[in-house]
Amino acid sequence: MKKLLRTYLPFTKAVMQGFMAYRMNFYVYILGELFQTVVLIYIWFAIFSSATSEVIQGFTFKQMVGYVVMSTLTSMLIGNEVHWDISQDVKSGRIATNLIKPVNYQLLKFFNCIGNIGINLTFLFLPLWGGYTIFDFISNGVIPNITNGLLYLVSVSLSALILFYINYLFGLAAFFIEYVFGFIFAKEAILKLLSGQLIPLTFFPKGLFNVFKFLPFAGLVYTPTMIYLGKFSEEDLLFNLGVQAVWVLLLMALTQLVWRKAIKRLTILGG
Amino acid sequence: MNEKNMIEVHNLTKTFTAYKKGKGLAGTLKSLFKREAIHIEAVKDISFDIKPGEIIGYIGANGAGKSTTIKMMTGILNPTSGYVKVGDYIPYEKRQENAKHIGVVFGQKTQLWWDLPVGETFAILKEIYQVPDDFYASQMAYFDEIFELSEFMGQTVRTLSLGQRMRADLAASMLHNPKVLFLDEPTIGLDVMVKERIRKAIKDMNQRYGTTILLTTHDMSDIEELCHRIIIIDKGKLLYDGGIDTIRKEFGYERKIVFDLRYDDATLVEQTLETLIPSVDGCQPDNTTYQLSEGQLTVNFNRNQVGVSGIMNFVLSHFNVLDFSVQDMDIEAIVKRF
Amino acid sequence: MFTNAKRYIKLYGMFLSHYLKAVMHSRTDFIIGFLAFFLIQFGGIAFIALVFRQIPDLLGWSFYDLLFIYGFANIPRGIDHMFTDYLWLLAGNVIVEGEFDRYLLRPIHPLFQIIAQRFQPDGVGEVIIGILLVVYASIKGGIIFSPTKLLIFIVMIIFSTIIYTSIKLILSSIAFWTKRSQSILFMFYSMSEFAKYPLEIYHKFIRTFITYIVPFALTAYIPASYFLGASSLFKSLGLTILISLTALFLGLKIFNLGIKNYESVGN
Repeated sequence: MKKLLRTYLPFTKAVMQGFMAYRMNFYVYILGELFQTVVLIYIWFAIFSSATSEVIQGFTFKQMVGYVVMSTLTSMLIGNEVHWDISQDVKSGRIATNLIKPVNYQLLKFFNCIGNIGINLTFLFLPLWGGYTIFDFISNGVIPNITNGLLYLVSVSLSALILFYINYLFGLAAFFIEYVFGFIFAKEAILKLLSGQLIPLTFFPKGLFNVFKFLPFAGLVYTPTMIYLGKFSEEDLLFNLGVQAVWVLLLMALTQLVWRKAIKRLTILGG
Repeated sequence: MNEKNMIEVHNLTKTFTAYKKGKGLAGTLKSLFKREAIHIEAVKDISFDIKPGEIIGYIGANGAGKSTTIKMMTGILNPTSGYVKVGDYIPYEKRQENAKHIGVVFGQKTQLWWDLPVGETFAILKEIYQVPDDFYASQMAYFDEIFELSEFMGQTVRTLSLGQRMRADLAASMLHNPKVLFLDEPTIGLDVMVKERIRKAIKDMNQRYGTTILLTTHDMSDIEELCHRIIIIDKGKLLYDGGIDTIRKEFGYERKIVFDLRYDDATLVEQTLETLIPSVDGCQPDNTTYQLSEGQLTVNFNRNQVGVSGIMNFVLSHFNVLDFSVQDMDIEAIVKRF
Repeated sequence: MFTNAKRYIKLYGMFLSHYLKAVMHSRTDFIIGFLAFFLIQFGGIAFIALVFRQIPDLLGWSFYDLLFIYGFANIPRGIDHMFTDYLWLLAGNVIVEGEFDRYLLRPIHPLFQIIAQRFQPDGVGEVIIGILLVVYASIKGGIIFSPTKLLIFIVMIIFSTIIYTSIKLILSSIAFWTKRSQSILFMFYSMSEFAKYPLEIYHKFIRTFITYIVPFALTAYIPASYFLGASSLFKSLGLTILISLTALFLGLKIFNLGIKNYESVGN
């Protein structure tokens, strides 16, 4: 384990050091992304003013703001650059040199991903979450529930793993697809809707919801956010955490399978 | 303006101003209000004239100010003081007018559209420079003869080899029959055969249309074969402006041998090297120099006064030599000797 | 500045015909890009549809009104996306890598060369979803398009597109001074999100800001509200034309100033 860390931690450090140079740009980008959240909150406000009841699909307006904030923060926290990095490696042919080195490519990318998450946590999640929590306390007198917080940590760790594997797979798509940029954009669009980042999955018609809750995407944002807000019954909680865990295992196996296919293609096509 | 000059460069000076960037967030904010300026003089008071039909070698080490001068001559940059005149225009004042009458090639990067097939590129350039149909046809036939373009006419620029790309770039720069051609490192990275072909084409163009050509290069053979005259600049200043013969007389016999050595103790090697000049026949401090860095020993010497064998014997008998190569002296070394 | 309009149009045609040929050759790429941008917009539509399962109207706006605005927003956005995508690269690495030099070496305007450098078929997805939404919402919402109205619609789309292009031009031109401006461009471009919904839902400050400062409101809500009967033609079209031309003028001015700066500092 110690040896493993010694070999791979530098890859985490490299990501974080690279980040320091682009910190200003990073914040400007995030500001752009936050506009979408601001729009969402305004729309919900309008929706709740137009609704006949105070509660929609089990959410009050304040709870909905909580959902929007926590789902935004969750998706920011687990975000990584693995898909872009891998597709770059494939496009530039660098992946071949990576294969010669005595390091495991997936582990290398995993430690890169930890670097991304470390950055997100320190420079984004903690300050924004802290700000929101203080705001929520002052204006609504709400104190975060410790149990929910701890359960959130468990769930969001699984989310981060799921997203790592999904992005890893989409990065590998560069082996099979010329226009990765478009492919990744398409993925992002689907994730946004099916992960519950745009709207709680409970807003979908029953039939769709019953399908979506079994998909890996629900485990990305919807599950940890609902856990944090304490909106799951004990039964829901176990079910959703279970789905997350199962998907981690399934995706882990799937990445191995695709990786083998990709390598075969690399050796045949010669990069 | 003197009617006879194609290019006039007069007291040309370019000073760049850079600003120190603050460290961290506080530093960045601070540097928004109070910036520390650093002035870099890239070109200092350079003057020369070039007559129509001349081929000039414009020479200097990397960072000597060559590119900056060319950028001012092509209108990309404004001078800080002094002026440039190319044909009838001050390039940076009438950039687009000037662009109609010049051709430019940068060896390091293509001027062509990466995604376009070579054939389409020429059709578009014809439109941009408004080349008449019949002249276009004759130019294309001519290019095909000297550059053998038809080999790769249907390929997109991004798929060309370096040599093919350079041939296409040169042809593109010559399509509208410019009065002046600026060639920045036109032979860089090419193999000997391609280099030869490109030199021939440049010479041919010069003789056929009387095109004035200014070229920069690190390759001594480019200069020997092409240039009527050379201009050397170093650290932004003009060092030499004159015939090639003087240079050939003084440096034409300069050779360079590069050895790859294996050793444990660099100081020991240095000590042994100190005995090189006294012990080899004909070696003097002013005709032989050497340099040791990271396992590589470079010896520069004058072939007329020092035998290659003397130096080879000395090095081979004193050190563990893994590999070596004999080369013409490069431009950088010549500039240093001025 | 564009004296030789005919020559420029012919040149652009040459570039475009090549790009279209290239699109035909790489059809999978086209379909992926098309689907990607189609899906991104689909997410927003799904959101509106899901929300309207819970409420009868949104501050008096019907489901079809919202669809109309949302669809309208996508048309100028997609057209601009198709034709001026290379501005994102101007804001990216073009200046830093010294690539801008070559635009200064040809006897045509550098901005034309940048625009002609790329055609982005991904924008087609946005335009198509936009048109589909506008048509669907018009039929269902009872908006009747007379020939005059259709003409007004096209004129509005043109000027709305100019707003997109001008905002991109102004922000990417900042790179002439700062070397890169992609993050700032992205940030401001993201404000177009505000334009997809009725302005009334926002705070007054935001309303003013995206009407006059970063005028994305004029790319969707304000022109669309004319067709929804919520605003007069004079106000919708007049404001859109006035502000889009001002923005374009500013954009060209800043771009040309940027070149001036580039000529004196290089890269």
